[in-house]
Amino acid sequence: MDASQNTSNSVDHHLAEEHQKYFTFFNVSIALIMLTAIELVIVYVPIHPGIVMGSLVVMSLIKFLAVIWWFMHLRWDMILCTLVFLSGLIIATGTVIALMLLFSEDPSGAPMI
Amino acid sequence: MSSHTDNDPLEELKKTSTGVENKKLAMWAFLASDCMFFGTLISTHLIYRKVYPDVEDVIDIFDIELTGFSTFILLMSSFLMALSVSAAHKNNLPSMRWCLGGTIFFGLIFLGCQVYEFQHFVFDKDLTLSSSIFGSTFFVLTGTHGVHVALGIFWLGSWLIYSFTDRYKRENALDVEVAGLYWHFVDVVWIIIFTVVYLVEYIEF
Repeated sequence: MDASQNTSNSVDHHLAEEHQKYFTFFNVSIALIMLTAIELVIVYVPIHPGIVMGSLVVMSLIKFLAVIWWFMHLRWDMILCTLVFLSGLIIATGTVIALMLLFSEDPSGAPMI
Repeated sequence: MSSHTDNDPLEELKKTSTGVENKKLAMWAFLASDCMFFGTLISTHLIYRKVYPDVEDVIDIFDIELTGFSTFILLMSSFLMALSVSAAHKNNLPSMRWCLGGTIFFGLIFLGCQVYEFQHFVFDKDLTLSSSIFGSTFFVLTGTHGVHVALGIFWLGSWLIYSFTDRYKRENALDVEVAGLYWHFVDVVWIIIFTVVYLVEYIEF
């Protein structure tokens, strides 16, 4: 196999890979739109608020992960990128949860501004 | 024997000690720090909503149809951004320019919706940065996100203009990809804000 043929095969493979990504991106975007539509509707559905809350959390999580996994190329990049991002995400999530557990409703109401 | 990977400038950029392009790794590190930044802003908003739940009639203030529309717009801009990066990697400049232009256009629509929402809150609902605790945390959180969107539009716009010059090279596809990472991050932050700031308010406990 000469150099030009090798280069041509490599480029064809690269183009085929990018072509395949187009359909992946399209499917992900359709899924994101549908999940957002469901989120908008489900808050008006008269069912147990715990179920609505749980559904919103799960759907947001799926949308979040879909964007970072496919749109942000973590699916195809080295694991190091995922680890670097996860380090910040875990600290942020832990901070939010810890602070939410630390505080409770003030019975005297909001201060006047 | 020579191969495509030996000649491709994009592959050359991967020859680092980590195996990841330095610019890309730096952007991921920045995004990790930005997660913590938005984490504190979201925490502040949620804590004050929890501590003082009756401070505002939030459902009367919000316009969920408009916010839902701007969420769709931002998601579509993310789709176009992903296509821009793919086109940049294929060195398909016309396609990259159209997709970048579309991303910027959708970003501008999102910003327009946010400006309209803010002026509606301030002038029609009397909700300002200093009118209540809810106003303070809401405007700081969504305003900071809006500033991120504006910076993203400026950044993508600069690459769109640059792509029309002779100085644009194949290795600049990595720069477009890095700008794309930032844009997608702005999108994922909005996914969280849309749920915890807007949608949760409509659940009747």
